[in-house]
Amino acid sequence: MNSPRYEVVWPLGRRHVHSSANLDLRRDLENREDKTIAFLWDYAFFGDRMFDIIRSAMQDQAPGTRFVDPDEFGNVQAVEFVEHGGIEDLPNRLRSKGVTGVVVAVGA
Amino acid sequence: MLRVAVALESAGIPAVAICAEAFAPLGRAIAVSSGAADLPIAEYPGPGLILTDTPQTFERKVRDAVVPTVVEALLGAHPTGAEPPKSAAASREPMDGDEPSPRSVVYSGSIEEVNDYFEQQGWSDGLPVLPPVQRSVDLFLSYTDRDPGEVIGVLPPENREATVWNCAVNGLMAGCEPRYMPVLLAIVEALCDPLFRIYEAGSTPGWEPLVTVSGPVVDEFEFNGGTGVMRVGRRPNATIGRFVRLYMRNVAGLRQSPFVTDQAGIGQSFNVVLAESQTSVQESGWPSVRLSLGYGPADSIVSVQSVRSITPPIYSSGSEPIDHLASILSVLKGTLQSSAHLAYKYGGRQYPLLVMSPAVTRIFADSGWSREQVQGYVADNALMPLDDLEQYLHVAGTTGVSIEQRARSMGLTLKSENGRVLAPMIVDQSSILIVAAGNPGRNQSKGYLDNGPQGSRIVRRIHMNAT
Repeated sequence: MNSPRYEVVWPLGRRHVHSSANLDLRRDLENREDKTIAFLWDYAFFGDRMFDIIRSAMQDQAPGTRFVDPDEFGNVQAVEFVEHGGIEDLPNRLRSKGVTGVVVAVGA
Repeated sequence: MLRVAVALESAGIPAVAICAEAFAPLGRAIAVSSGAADLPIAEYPGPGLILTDTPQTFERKVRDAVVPTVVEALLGAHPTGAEPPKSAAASREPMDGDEPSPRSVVYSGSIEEVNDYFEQQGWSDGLPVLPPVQRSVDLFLSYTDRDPGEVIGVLPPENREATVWNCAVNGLMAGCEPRYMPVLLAIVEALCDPLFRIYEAGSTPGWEPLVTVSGPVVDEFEFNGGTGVMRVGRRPNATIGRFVRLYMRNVAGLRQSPFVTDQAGIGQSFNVVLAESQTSVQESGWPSVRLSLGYGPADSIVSVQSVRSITPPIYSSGSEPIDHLASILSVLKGTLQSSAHLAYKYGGRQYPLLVMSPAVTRIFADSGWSREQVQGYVADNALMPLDDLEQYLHVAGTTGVSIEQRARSMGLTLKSENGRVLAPMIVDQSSILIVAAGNPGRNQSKGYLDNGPQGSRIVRRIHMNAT
């Protein structure tokens, strides 16, 4: 006896792939004089110790680079940050401090 | 963390994310699905982990492996003397452009062949699924007035549309009855709430959603709210519980190995639905879940929240509320102690849930204790040494938070006892949900403990409105 055959439909949903602005974000970074690097942290996995090492290496590479510490922003995974517009406000807050690049840590 | 980095890159600010090597594939998957495939990811390499490497090894790995990617990404230069790092863009994954349309037939075969095919595609949870054929899906859709194409939300990390249609398809696959459709829709609405943070459902604690159902729908659909309430064995409890995990897998895209988006360290199986039977509520004289959550007696609701750990069965005896609460607290504290730090790390959002047999809640009701009194007693007496809390926080990976400072900023009071400082394990007593369910002939309770803001408790009304 033949088994019945089933014509089955797809169980997933249409995927939204957000397109970023296709910006060449890193063009001319090397030639910029006013480099300011911000550190954002979830207060986990020794990010503070990583930032110390990175800060030192960056100062060797580009003397005069300025830094903004993670305590300026607090835990970027905390309720008070995520649920109160912290992520949405970040770009403007960073720009107001003249930030040219951001280190986000630590995924583990 | 990746979401923050992606948001910055999308806003035109160069960013680099630091990940442990094992999490880099997940990071790339999130970056790709968020349209930031070129996001640089600096990997802390194995073998060895950030929290287990010696300080010397840690420093060497950061200097040799992390720094080059960070410097190139943000300064546009290679560190002096270092080899150019491998570009993150080299690991770009192809964007999908040839996926089926939602209603298209994707396969035809016997039930065994369909199950094999779905498993190969990653569309199954490893258990046999019912074949989702159009006519069966239509039966589910007949139990709602909503447009099958309605997009309820877009679920990360794969950013797929959660629709009325795929809610029906996955409910069918999980073995639900078509008439459960309004319950499934309410659950999907909860999963789509941004506060639920479904994108963090693949985090290492391996938490599982727990659905609690309260209201007339419990008896109408013959949920089990009594003996063995949390066992597989009754169709609505079991299949709707299975549906939740299947939906998260297929629509949010949270798939375990060999896929990369579910990084549960060990994980746990799905929870069956916790049903609060009308009988339990009536027998115990305890306020129903729906009343506790601000709904009316005629409403049916679902509450969806994370469960990270479950207490052992808690037996309690005596005729006074405090007799029972003492036993409940002693076991609850033991299970809660390893996760209580989450409330401090994240700044609140805690959702402890206590299932008590009607025989236990009746003691409170008969003694005139209100829900708030029971919640307050539990919260006031669930304390643990501050230094133990710090230690649990640290071993779980949080290395930059002071519990004492956080307690102060959250307005919590620390107590001293026998030379030790004690901190609250439950920071908001109103978050304690008490559900009267289980064997009415036994004096047993059980605690279901959350994972903080990951899987926050979301409540939705069930709309039984099909015409």
